Amino acid sequence: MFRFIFIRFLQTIPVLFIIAVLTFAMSRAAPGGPFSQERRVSPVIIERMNEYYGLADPLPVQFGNYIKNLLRGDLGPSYRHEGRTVNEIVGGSFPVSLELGMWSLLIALGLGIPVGLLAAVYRNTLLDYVPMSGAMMGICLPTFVMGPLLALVFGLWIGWFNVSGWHTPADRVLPSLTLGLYFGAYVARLTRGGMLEVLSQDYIRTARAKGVPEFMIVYKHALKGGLLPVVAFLGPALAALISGSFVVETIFQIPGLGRHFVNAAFNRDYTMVMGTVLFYATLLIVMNMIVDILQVLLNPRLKYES
Amino acid sequence: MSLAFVGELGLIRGMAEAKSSRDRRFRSAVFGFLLGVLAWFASGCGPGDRPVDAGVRDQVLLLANGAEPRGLDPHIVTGVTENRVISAIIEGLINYHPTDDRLPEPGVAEHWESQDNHRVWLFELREDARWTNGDPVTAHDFVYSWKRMLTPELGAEYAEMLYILEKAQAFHQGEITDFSQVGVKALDDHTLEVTLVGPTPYFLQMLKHYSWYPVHPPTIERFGGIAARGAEWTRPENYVGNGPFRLEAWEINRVIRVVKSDVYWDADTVRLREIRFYPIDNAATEESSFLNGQIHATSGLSSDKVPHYRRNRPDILYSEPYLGTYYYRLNVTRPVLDDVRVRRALALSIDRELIVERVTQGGQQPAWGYTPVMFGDYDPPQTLSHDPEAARRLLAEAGYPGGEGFPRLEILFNTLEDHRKIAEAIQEMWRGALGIRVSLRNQEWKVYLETQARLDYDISRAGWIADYVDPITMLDLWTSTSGNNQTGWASDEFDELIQRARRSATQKEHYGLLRQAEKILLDELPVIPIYWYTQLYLIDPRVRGWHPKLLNNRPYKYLWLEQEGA
Repeated sequence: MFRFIFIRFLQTIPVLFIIAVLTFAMSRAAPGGPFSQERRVSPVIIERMNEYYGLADPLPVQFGNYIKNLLRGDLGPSYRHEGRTVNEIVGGSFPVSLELGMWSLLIALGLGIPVGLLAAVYRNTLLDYVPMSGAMMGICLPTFVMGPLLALVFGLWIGWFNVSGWHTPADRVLPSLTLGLYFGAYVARLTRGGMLEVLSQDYIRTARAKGVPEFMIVYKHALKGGLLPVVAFLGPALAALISGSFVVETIFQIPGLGRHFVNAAFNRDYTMVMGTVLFYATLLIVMNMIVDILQVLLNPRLKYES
Repeated sequence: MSLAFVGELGLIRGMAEAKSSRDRRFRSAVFGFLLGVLAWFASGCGPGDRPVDAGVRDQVLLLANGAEPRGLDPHIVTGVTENRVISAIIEGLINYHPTDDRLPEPGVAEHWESQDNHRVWLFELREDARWTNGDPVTAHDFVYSWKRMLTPELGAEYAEMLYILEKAQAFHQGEITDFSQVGVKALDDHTLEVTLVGPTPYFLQMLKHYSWYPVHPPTIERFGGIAARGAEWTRPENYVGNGPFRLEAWEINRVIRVVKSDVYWDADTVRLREIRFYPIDNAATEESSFLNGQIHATSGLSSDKVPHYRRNRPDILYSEPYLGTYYYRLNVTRPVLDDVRVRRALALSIDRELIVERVTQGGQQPAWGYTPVMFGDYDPPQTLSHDPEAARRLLAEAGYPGGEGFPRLEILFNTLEDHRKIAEAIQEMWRGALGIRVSLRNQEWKVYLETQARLDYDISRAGWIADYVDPITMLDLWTSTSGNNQTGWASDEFDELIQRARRSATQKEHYGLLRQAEKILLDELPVIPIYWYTQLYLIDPRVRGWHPKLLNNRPYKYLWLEQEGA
């Protein structure tokens, strides 16, 4: 297992490097720069600013400098947020996205798994159709519809929650629900699918023939295998959840990483683009690795292979 | 992450193996907990006690601020968002007047006088002006601050604003290195002498702009010195300002809080205890935050919402003129558009009334001239009209009767629904009146800026907001040397008039020259003015002391909150 982790770790290095090269090249290829704005600034001043931020050097030199700083853990200064470093901004906004992601995950799993289980066990009954139609709707209803809808009902009409901000504990509820319901819908469908497959296996029939009570069959024998698709889904989903959703963070004005991720591109905030992309890539790789490990733990048919 | 997942599995297994009585107890506990949470929400933030209500009680003004400011260093930033915060925590020589933007209001300067036809100015600084750390605000601080603006290594984007000081341009461009030659001197701690390159009757208006604001020299020196950009001095724990409020907290994408400064010289006038700026960058969220009682005023309102509020909630809809013009640039280096008759035909066939009434709907004024009619005594020429008949004649004279043989032009705009609607209306007007076809092209903001600067367009949407209340800030961008011209148009006569207007000794002469220059602009039409801006937003009627302002600036020290009927 440690060999497996070690080899996977080595594989990440070239992957991250390629991502860094591509991101760097693409962000520089976009027209405009961090300091271009409607009111033209005299070329002399632009030149000064480029010198100040090291943007006057040839691109390969800039990239080399960036990588050098990166290896020391320095993601550079943000061009959009004057006087802040990318490390500081990511460090300040990631915990927010992480928290939102955790709450959403809790909702997604807490709702999705039981619903999926019920639907699988009571297949082709009302207990299957109704929640599954709901889940289908949840998948189809994008967060930019669900978010404002929840804000309208629970914020403006009933008046329980603020419709924006991240100041009080209550401010966590609506965004977490928006994201959680969306992912919960996927989880429910995946759980149902996985469970149905497992429940049709021979060993389940054997257990039934032996007279094992139904809930024991479900919880003890089927669940572990039935959740495999959910676990596979969770890797990338988790990375997406905790690195912040641009849409949900914008709708509810949450100071998370997702907004920086997207706005950095609009602002041509080169260092910020690089920083957020590399951070997300690392997160995604780590999450996928954890999922791979978990899958082997849950599924005896798999072995660690490099 | 993985822990929560494993925990979840454990919980399910645990539940399954639990005895049924324990199960029931668990369930009722969960149910009770949920009920409690609900009750807490219901009691804590019911409709009766919203943040705005608490704000009115405690004199805490809650404002939406459009976006996260780039920074809070007055010499580095360039935007309205930044200005809204900075003008609360730093005070210049001259302040915003509480009601009339055309008048100067004493700030750090108590008295002033000008000599030599408004070329030399003497400012007497009040002795009780204080930095938030208790230091007195002196004339030397202003000299240092203006030196900082003009220090080439700092790369201040508004440095050119200070070129009006004698020798400032030479210093900024490195021709001289001795700042004492530049036209600003501290005669003593409280007297500042300013020498300009020429007579400038509107100098006091310029001084309201934040590029002239002072910074606290010891603080700047402590954090990297006069040429350091992005220094940590703007953090709340380091910030030293001299305004009616001081910076208390600054959390990115969350909130900026400023609280009343006790050492401010006019603290008795300041009634607000605190202002919170929320950087809400989504118009729909901003609106619902307002309706939900979280903010006292929005920073804007999308035009399609205006009719609804005008009909149903006129008490919270606020509309004020905004000193700027929305126009179309014409690339006069392109064939067809290099013919002034074609440009005039295009300008005359636009029905501006229809656009402001049906498309923008926000109370904008149709622009029959270029400079908005808001600059007090300045009477701008308004030579445009809606005259499709004349437009057709002009186009025929240019060789395109009925639009025949006219090439297909393109309107460029940055991606925004409001711009598209206007472009579509104009597209249709030109088709109807002139029989010509144009296509539309939208680009992402920075791509659009680049395309426009490269003159890689036919017709391009743009707008300009005045920096200060004098028409020269609207007109000098069309000089041939201005980087903001971007039309390829140049006129020696126009340049000459602007140059003379910059040096005129009296306001009358100044306005007269600008009027002549503007006439040339409207004869030549490298730009087609469309409308004059309005600011529209929602505001809580309990905010008092709020007056229509031309440049969206707020004299916060004169604002307060009051219960209705009180």
